[in-house]
Amino acid sequence: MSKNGVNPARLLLKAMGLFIAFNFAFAALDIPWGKLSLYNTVVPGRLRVPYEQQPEYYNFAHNLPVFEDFDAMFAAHVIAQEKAANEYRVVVLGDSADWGFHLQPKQIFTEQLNARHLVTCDGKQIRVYNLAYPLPDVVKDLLILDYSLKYEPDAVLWFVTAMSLQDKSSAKSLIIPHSRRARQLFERYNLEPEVARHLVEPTLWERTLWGKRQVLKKMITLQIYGLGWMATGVDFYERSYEPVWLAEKNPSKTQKQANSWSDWDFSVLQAGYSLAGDVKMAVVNEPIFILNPDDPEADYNSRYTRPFYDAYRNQLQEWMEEEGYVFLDFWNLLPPTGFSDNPIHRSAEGELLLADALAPALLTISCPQR
Amino acid sequence: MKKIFAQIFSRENLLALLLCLILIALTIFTVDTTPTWIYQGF
Repeated sequence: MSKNGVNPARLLLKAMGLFIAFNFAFAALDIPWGKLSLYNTVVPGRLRVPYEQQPEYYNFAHNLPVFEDFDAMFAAHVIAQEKAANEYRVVVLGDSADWGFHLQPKQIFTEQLNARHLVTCDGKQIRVYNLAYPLPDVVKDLLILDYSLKYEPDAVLWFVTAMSLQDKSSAKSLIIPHSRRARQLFERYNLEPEVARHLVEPTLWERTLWGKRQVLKKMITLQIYGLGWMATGVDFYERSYEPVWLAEKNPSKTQKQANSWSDWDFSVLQAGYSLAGDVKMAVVNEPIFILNPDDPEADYNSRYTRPFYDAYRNQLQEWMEEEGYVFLDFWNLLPPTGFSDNPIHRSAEGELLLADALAPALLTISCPQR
Repeated sequence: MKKIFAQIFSRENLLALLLCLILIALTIFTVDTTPTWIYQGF
C-alpha cells in the first residue's frame, strides 16, 4: 500500500538499511569526532579536564567525564588553544588532589600560579595547565602525558603519591578505552603493569555508532554544559564533607587502609621521562595529611602507615637522585587545615601554600642557569 | 541524470533518511551515561 509514492514497509526497510550502513561506516571511517568542539571558540576552554563522578551532579557542575575519548577531553581544555609565541607551557599530571576536588577552578594551585604571572629568565610567560585526572595511577598519567605532548609543553610537573605508584588494575576502566596506545607504550618502554592483562581492543561492533553511543552522548552533553561553564565559571558541585583533621581524630569514622605494598617500581616514571624527551620534567611528591606530627611512632593518617609511606618516600628519593631528576618533595608542606575531605585532597588554603612552594621551583626549572 | 537524481532524492528515500537520523538520535540520547566507578577495587 502506498500513499504519495511512499510504501511504509519499504520506507522502514530503507531506514533500517541506512541505520545499519551508518553504523558500520562510523566504525570503518573512525573519524575523530571528539575534535569537533565548541570549547575555545564559542565557549571558553576548561581550566581542568572534564570530570564528575556522580551523574546526579552533572547539571549542577556543568561537567561530566569523557575520559574514553582523549580528543574530546583535551578539546574541551584550555590547553587546546594555540600556544602563544612568548608562552612557557607547563603541564601538570596527577590525581584528584591535583585536579582540585572540592575546589572551584580559580582556587586550584595551577590557577594560583597563573595568577602570579611568572616570567622565565628569558622573558617568557609561564602558563600552567592542569591535566590531572582523578585516581592516583601513574599508568593513567603516562597516557595523558603521551597525548599532551602534541600541545608542545616546555615542562611537566608529575604529581605522585604512594598510591599512584602501586601497580594495580583498578585504573583499568580508564586505560582500556586507550588499549591500543597503552600497549604500544608498554612495548616501547618494556613495561609490564598489572593493567596490561586487561587491555582489549574494541571489536567492530563496539566501534559502531551503536557501540559508541554512550561516549557520543557524553561528548554532545559536554558541549551543552559548556554554556553553563561559560556563564558561571563553576565546574564542580560542592558537597558537604567533614574535614579530614576532624574525621581522623575519631578512629571509628575512618577506615584504615591496608598498606602491604613493598615492591616499588619506578619504571613508569622512567618511561615518562623517556617519552617527554627534551621536555623538562619534575616529579612532585604530593603533600599528605599528618595527624600527629610530633609523635614519631604514630601513622601519618588512615591511608598511610608510617613504615609504608617512609619506605615509599625513601625509595623514590633514592631513585630520583640516582637518575639525576628534579624531585620536589612536598610531603609535609601543609598544616592540617591545608586538607579537605581526605588525607591527600587539599583545601583552598593548601592550594595557596602549594602554589607558594611551587612558584620558585618553576622559575628554577624554566631557567636552570639561575 | 535528472531522473537518477529524482530517484535518489525521492520522497520515500528522504523520509527513510529522516527516520534513520531519528533512530540515531534516539540511540544516542536514550543511553545511560552513568560512568564506571573509577575507584572500584581501589
